[in-house]
Amino acid sequence: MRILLVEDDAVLGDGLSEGLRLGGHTVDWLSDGREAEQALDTDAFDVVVLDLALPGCSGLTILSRWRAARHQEPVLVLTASGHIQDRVAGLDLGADDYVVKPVDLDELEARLRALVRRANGHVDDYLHHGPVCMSRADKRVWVNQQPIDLSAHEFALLDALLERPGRLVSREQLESRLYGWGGGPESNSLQVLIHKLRHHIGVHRIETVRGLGYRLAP
Amino acid sequence: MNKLFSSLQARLLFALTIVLLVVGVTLWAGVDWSTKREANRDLDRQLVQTVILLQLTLQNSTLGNSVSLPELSGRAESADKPFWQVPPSFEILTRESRVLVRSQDFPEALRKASSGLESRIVHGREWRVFTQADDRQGVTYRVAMSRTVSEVRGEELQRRFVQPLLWALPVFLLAALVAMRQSLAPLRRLEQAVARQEADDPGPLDIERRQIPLELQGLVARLDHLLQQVSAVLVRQRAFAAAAGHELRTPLAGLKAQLGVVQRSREVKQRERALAKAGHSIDRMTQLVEQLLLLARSDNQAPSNLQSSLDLAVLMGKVIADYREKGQQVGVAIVFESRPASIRLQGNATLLKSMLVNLLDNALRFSPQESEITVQLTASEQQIKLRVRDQGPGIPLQERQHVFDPFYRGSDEPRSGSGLGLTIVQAIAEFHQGQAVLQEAPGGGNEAVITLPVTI
Repeated sequence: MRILLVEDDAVLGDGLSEGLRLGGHTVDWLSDGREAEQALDTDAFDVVVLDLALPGCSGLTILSRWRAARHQEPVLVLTASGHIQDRVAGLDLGADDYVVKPVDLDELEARLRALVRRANGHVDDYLHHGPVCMSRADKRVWVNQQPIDLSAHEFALLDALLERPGRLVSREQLESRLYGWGGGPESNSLQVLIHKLRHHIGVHRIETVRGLGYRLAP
Repeated sequence: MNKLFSSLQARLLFALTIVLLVVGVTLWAGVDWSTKREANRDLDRQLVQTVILLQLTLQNSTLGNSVSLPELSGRAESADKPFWQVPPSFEILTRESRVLVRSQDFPEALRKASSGLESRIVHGREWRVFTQADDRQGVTYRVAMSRTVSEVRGEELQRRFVQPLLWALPVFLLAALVAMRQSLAPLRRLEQAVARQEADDPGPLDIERRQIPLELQGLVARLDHLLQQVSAVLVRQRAFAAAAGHELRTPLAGLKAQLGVVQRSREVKQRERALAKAGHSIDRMTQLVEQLLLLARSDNQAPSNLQSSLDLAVLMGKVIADYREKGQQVGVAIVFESRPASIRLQGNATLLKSMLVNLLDNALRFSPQESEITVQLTASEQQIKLRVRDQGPGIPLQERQHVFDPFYRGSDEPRSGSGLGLTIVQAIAEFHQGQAVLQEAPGGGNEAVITLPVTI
């Protein structure tokens, strides 16, 4: 998943982004609400984690502006306040989930997965396409019922392709999903990764659409 | 008994009964005195009239009409009859003291009574005797009556006083009881209104003003005022507790997230980095907890406790000497001046030190690099002023009134502080009967002014 984290506390922001990255996700961390708004305008994220207590601008204001601007990304609100009325206000303004600090990394990840799953119309954490089957929760992949080992990046790449099987996913989308704004270590790293993934699940299963991107073979 | 007398109703009833008894006794004494006087007067009149009657009778008898005088003396044998129904005893004497006529029961002891009205005690009975000499007839009349005035008095009192009192007293007491219950009804309403109060959410008593009697209006107004104050304090305390919990959650969340990283990561470097960051979170929480404890201490202590005579200039000098290095690290110089060089007051050294440290922390947070923080201590006859001035951007006017609120942070303020610094400063100043103000420094920037009374 490509996650946008908006959190102004240095230690918490760092911990969450590192922890989520270790879980195989791509995390972009911003500490300012206005910057987050621009990021959402220009980039595609699977899910947003939004802290409500931001300097200069309340998280709820940002959220309502996003929703007014027709941004559809699921938003998980992270807050220090456990008051019911605050939760209700947050959910009413367009938040999809509400988590009170401190939050467990595993729980946060599961909630984010659930949000993305719902946003894409999936019923569970399993993605299927042909003989390829993936469990997002425990990060396992099977081809013809045979488990195969994938690296975190390979898994994320397959995840992106499996989300909308048969549909084209552009290079840029895949790169931003894999590396965020940090970019790949090399300019051809995506190609290298595609090559490795093909090796694992079968060369013919990933098609290259020249100049546009990749898709899973129907 | 104590319980009885702690009741207003019993007390009022008791007082009323006492008053009623005093009034009764006074009335009794008055009636007693007046009936006695009237009875005496009646008696005397009767004696005088009897003498006149005897004179006329004697005159008639000497004119030839025979009247049997002893008939007059035929006393009815009825000792239980009131005195006015008993004919008087009498004797008529000649000039030579020879007895002309004498009724049988005329007491021997009265035979020497002198002229005029006289009272005598004979065999335990009081007698009133009237003696008159008639020179023309050449006789002396002596008429006597046993004075059983107490009899009269008893009857009179019975008639005029005791009987009315016997039925008036219970009626009166009953009426008083009803009136009292009626008058004390507002007290019961007040009690019910107070009983309706919730300990965790007190509010105004909610009694209609016209239902409160004049005497209770002050009490009710004070109670209402007090309840409102308690309610405000409760609201503040709750908000404070919520804010404190809120403030602790963020470093706690940071700590948890970093520990999550430690669990997930297999790289030693990354784990070490996460552990160091977790340590930062713990430091922040420790600082916050310390500040909360400090605030609790300066809020709770009775001002007379833990105070000693100290030299504020020396104390502040020490704090600043310790703080200089911290300032130098971020390129901020600290200038300290005290006039006079020694300023003594009664105070708590630990709290006063914390006050300056918090002021310096605050000033340092707003200070740009290569700037100065000026700490100025001055004393006049009545008050001591401590000024801490920075050369930062200052705080906008509309935000200045909130800076002493717990956990308040200005819109442009970095989040490094606990949000309690200035709250603590104010609490410590108030602990020393002083006050804290934040104003704009002459050259821009903030100037915190602490005013303390001279207490030596």
